[in-house]
Amino acid sequence: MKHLIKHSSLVVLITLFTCSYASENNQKQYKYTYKDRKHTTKETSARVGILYVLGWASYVTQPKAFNDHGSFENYKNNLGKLVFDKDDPYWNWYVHPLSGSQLFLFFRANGYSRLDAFKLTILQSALYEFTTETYTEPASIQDLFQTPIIGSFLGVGLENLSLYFLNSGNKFYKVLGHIINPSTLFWFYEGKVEITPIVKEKKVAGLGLYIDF
Amino acid sequence: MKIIVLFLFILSNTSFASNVMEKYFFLKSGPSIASTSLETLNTENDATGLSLISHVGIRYFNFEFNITSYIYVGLYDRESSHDDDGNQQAQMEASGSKITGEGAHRSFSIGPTVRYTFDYTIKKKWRPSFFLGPMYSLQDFIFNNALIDGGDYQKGQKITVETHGGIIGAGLHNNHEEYYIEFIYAFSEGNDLAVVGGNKRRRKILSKEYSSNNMRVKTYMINVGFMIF
Repeated sequence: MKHLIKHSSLVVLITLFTCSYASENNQKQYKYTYKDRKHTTKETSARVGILYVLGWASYVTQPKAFNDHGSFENYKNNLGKLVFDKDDPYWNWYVHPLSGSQLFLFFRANGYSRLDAFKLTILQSALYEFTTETYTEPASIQDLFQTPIIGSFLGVGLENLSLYFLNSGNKFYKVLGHIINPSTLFWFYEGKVEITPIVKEKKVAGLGLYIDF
Repeated sequence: MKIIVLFLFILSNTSFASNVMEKYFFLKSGPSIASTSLETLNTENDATGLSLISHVGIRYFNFEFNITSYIYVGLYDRESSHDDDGNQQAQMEASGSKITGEGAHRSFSIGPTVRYTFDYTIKKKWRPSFFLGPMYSLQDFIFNNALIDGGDYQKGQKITVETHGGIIGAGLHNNHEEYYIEFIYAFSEGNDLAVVGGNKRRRKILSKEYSSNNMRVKTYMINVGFMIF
């Protein structure tokens, strides 16, 4: 089942990517960037809330872990507990920091500054650890720290690398840029700037930048 | 440990941080080369490894209040298990087994630290600082090749030991605090041991015990780090 979820997620991601890529008019050129802006509390709450629900959804769709190890009795016992988990580096050093980096990039794509994206990644991870994962196990010190901290550290690197790839003009690099930073594919990404060539009379030429919010 | 969580949670509160702490909140991190000395039972193992150190915190004048964390990965060998007469000694005891072997040693450490940065500069560029604080660690050992004498421990099982101690470091930050170099010493000891089975994807705790390994871990690190934001 876990493999099925993993594979179907991959298929959804590839489909979204293909649709988005195909929908781009080849005549148009874009510059990929990040533009920070202020957000209202309502906007931020909505985004955190959606991710929180998605966190539960992803958990519920793992029946082996959810049914075999989870119960409301466990939830009650685990609530407020904090332990060193005994997981392997596969989870603690790869999966959690990687998911943290994508959380960070999600908030960045929504126009949050690096600092605010970092703080929201901490908040989101804490919510998941203390109120979702407690259904099966106590909150983990490693996850609580490594998901947002190493995740954001990684996220900054992925952000810079993806922007370099996306703006390189090379199609292969562009695909690579979207793969390492999938948030740039979605409608909520606010940093996609359309470049319009302007040719005026008297041989005056230039580039127009158009940002759509 | 709950204080650490509370600290992280407060820092993550956007409106609070935006209004009050915006200029004082930071994350800095960087890789380091580490030299570890590990004492268990009557053996001592010296190894060189790599680590990644992060400091997240708030700045208040010359003070920084951080949550400092590092992950370490290194090797564990059996050379150290020979005594002066060439006899091999057990390196670890778990589940009633005496174990001698080689494999991987990994650890995760975290704790609150306080840093003080001096106002004067060295060569008009570098500002010295020092920091210290308690550390809580989880040491992981996976033996690839082990001799097991008695007991219930089996090959492939992971041994974890919770240790606690402290960390102290001194460093030089450049004037604009974009990058820094630090010399760090961390020390911890403990006996809370767990034997963990299962596979890499899903681990299961098989037993927990207060062992007689008397594990002591000393780590020296040279860290080159960057201000992320």
